[in-house]
Amino acid sequence: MRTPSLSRPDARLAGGMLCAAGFALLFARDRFAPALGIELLAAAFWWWARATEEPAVHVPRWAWLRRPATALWLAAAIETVLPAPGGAFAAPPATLEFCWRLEAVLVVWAALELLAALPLTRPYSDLPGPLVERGFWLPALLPSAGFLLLWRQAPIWLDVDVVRDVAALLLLLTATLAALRAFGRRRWTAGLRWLVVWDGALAGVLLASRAIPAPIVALLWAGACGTHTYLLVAELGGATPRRGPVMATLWRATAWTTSTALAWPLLIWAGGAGPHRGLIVLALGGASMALAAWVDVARMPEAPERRTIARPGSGLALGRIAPAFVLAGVPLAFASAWWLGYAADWRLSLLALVPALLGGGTALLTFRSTARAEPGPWARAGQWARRAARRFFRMVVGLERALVAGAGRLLLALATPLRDLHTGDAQEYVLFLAGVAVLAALLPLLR
Amino acid sequence: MHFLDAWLTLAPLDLARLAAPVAFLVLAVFMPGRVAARLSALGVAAALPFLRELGAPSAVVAGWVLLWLGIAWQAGLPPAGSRRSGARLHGLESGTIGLLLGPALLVLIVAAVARLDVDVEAARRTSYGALLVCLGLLHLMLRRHVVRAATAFAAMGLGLQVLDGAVASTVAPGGVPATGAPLLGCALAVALAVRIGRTRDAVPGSPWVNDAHDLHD
Amino acid sequence: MSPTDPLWAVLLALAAALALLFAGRRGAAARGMIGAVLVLVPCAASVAGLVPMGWLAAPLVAALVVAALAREAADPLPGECALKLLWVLGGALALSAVGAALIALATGVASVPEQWAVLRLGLSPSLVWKIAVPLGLLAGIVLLGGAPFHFWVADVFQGVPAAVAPLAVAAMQAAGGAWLVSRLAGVEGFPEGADLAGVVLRTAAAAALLAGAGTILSQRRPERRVGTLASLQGGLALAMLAATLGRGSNSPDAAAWLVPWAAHLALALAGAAPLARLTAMDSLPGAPGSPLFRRHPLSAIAGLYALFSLAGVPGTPGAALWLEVARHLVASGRSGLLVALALAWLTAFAMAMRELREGFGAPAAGDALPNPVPVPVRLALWLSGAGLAAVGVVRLLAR
Repeated sequence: MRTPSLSRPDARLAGGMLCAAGFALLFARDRFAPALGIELLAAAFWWWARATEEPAVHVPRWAWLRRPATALWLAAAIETVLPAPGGAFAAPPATLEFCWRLEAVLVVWAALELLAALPLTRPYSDLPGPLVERGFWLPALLPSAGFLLLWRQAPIWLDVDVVRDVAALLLLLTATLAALRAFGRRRWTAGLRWLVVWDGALAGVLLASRAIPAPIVALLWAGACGTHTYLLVAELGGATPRRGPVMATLWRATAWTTSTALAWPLLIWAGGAGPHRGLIVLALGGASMALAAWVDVARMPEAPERRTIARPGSGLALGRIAPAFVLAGVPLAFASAWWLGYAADWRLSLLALVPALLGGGTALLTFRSTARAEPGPWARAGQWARRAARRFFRMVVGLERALVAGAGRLLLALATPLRDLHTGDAQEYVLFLAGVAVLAALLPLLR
Repeated sequence: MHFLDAWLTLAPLDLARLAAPVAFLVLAVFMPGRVAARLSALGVAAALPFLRELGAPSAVVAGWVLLWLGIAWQAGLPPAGSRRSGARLHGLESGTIGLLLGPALLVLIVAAVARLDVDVEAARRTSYGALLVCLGLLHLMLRRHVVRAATAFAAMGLGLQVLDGAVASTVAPGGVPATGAPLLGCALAVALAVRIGRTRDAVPGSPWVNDAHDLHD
Repeated sequence: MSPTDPLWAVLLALAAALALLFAGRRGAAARGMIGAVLVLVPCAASVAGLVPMGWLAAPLVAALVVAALAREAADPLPGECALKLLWVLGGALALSAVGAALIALATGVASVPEQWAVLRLGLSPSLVWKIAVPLGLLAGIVLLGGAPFHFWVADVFQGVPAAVAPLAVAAMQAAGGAWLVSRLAGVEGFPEGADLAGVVLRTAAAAALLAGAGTILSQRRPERRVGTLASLQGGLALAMLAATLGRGSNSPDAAAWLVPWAAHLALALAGAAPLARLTAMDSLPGAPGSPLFRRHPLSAIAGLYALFSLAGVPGTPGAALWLEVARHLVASGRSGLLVALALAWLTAFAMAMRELREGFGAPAAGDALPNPVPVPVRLALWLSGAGLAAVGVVRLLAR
């Protein structure tokens, strides 16, 4: 008798449900929720990858998503075993301190991996996601998950100074590299994927700086990342945000404004921070802001309007209403920040706008009413700059990969003689036994 | 001082009586082959009735003699057409390491025995028992034939019997004789070694320890 | 926790083993089947703690298992297992007996708790017990599968049929735990001895956890991976003993923990072992899933639940054991051992998830449905998986 077989769920639907459930869990406060959330996200990518026509390519490509999930499981386990205040047993303070630090490191590790801030899988945003034809936007989910992790788990890592500072530095470097990569990519959608990484990384730095309250950081991030993600997803639906000059201008302005709003408080804070910190944040943050603004403004290719007559009701389409809400949300966010006690020096505030104005303004200068037959000197300079950005990014990633591969080869070189010596016969086991017995008897005498 | 006195004050005949089983076991450890294994087992069996340091009842001593005779019989049987082990160089490596570890372990245990606050007889029996156990372990590390390894287990068991006798005389000074537990355990180990050796000789046709390494990744 | 929980777990493990024996009845002689049952029942009894044997459990269980494996058969692998077990366990038990004899001679008493009390008086030279205590614990460490002796567990799972291996391994590891508990009974009465024993146990636990973690991800054979998971469980037991030793209440706490630990081990292995036999070795990424997963996905999930419990995946009864050990390590301030435990847990978790993904693989829509897996084998997977789930639910309700 054959048992009834389960009908196989559609891969897109199953993956989508896993993804949605995973994201929902990232908002929960339960200690195991973020771990389960990232695990479901990893499962979603696996489910999609195995349903493609080339599972042998896509399954190993996205297998690394289990690493941040594993780190979060361990962080949750550490929190579970720590004694509750007034509980049945107390732990030595040094052990508690160690456990808290370890937990912070693990949470930050998971977030950094998702935000492409670690050398292990930094270039994942260059790859189209599983579900190749219609899933090119899927990798944009990962930096979003990374930022949500940093935001919702902020109490765990923000109070551990070393972890916070190292995370901020790595995120700042990532933001710079992401902006460079976005600048260096020719394709609009590829650049957008890297801008989503830039949004998450910069928002992470802003969180670490504590320049403005964390809920406001999340709002600003939602504005910037939401804009870039919408632009990505909208490519599937006929690229409506860039259809016609009006829509394209509206969305360029939205992207420029939201990106500026995200970086602006950080640059203000850097102006008042210490000489070393401030200089690093100003230099890297400012440079990445300028590049991101350029990409937002200059790179969006305007698509010709396909309809001669507008469709009834198209005036109230999401593509038209959303920018209005987002643009209105930016001053509201800053008003809320002011209400919560945020204040900034007006001179620093003006200076902090310079990188965004420089990047966006220079991009505006590249717009011409008629196209040139031959690229002029500025266009050639722009192409050279783009090539240089691409080469620099590849050099950095290549160096990181070489270091990781070198460490792996070193471990293998150390382990291989042990494997070769290991014969696996009974006599070897007895030798181990005698060796351990001698060691066990000798060591207490040497203590 | 007790420990040194235990051995230095020994009469030559007693020294010979104690040295005989050790000498035969050393022969089994360092000389390969069926003949050496049979000779050493027979020698130990012959020397056992004179080994009063066992501190066991006559039935137990008789049991030990029978056990060693059984080992002599099995160790000397010709192989069932089995091939020689090809792992000769490896035997050299494990032998070198075994020759370092075995004596090192013996030195550590004897150092502990030398510090024991017991009478001369107990010190002698304890160090003697430790020597026999270490010789058995050395046999396992140096020799590679499964059936002939019964000698190793029997040597370890004999050493444990001597130790058991020393413990029984110390813990119960009235001289309660040692139990036959070491003999039973040792007989079981010897029987298993012989059984495994015969089984390996039949399937897959090699009774050598170094040829048994099919279980690996 | 109810005292009957370990008994139910062991009964389910025994039932799973009998189901697997029944599945293999066509290829096996009746004598072999009876022999296997005669091994399984005593092993099950010792795991369930029905027969309190103390230190005697170790040599008896080891002898029983070796004797069962040392039989002439077409397959040489059980004989090789028996050879390796006899070589390493024979030597370990002999050395431990030497250690025990030295302590008895130094103290003049045979009872272990009294020996510690006599040593505390300081009349015996420290050299004697400093050498004898580690030797005395050696057999327990070897039986628990602590590194570098973790290989015998993987060998047994590779070389011995899946019907016998789980209970045999669980019984030997339980006997190892019983050996250590019996050797350390009353050691809190001799602080220096407890300190030394703690160092030995902590070192053994760290070696077991780290070596297991380093080995498990590089192993190709699924059966050996299950064996390494079992050796990690041995490391867990060593860590628990080390942690409770440090907190001054060794014997009651440790002995009370070991019985449910061994019962869980037996039940989890009863599902993980047959699952490993039905999983492909060296599965390529993106390759189709194993026949069991394609034809009987729910049974595969039941077997995976057992594997997950062994690896301590959150949501399984096994995770509670791992977390309990971690709690004790935190309470006793053993950060180094806690890190080793965390690494071992991470690698075990990663291995379990890899089994899940490789098991299901990529959908093979065009391929014909594979042959069905025999019902007794699936029953064994269900007994293990569902049994563990039931244990978990009962514990949750009881809390």
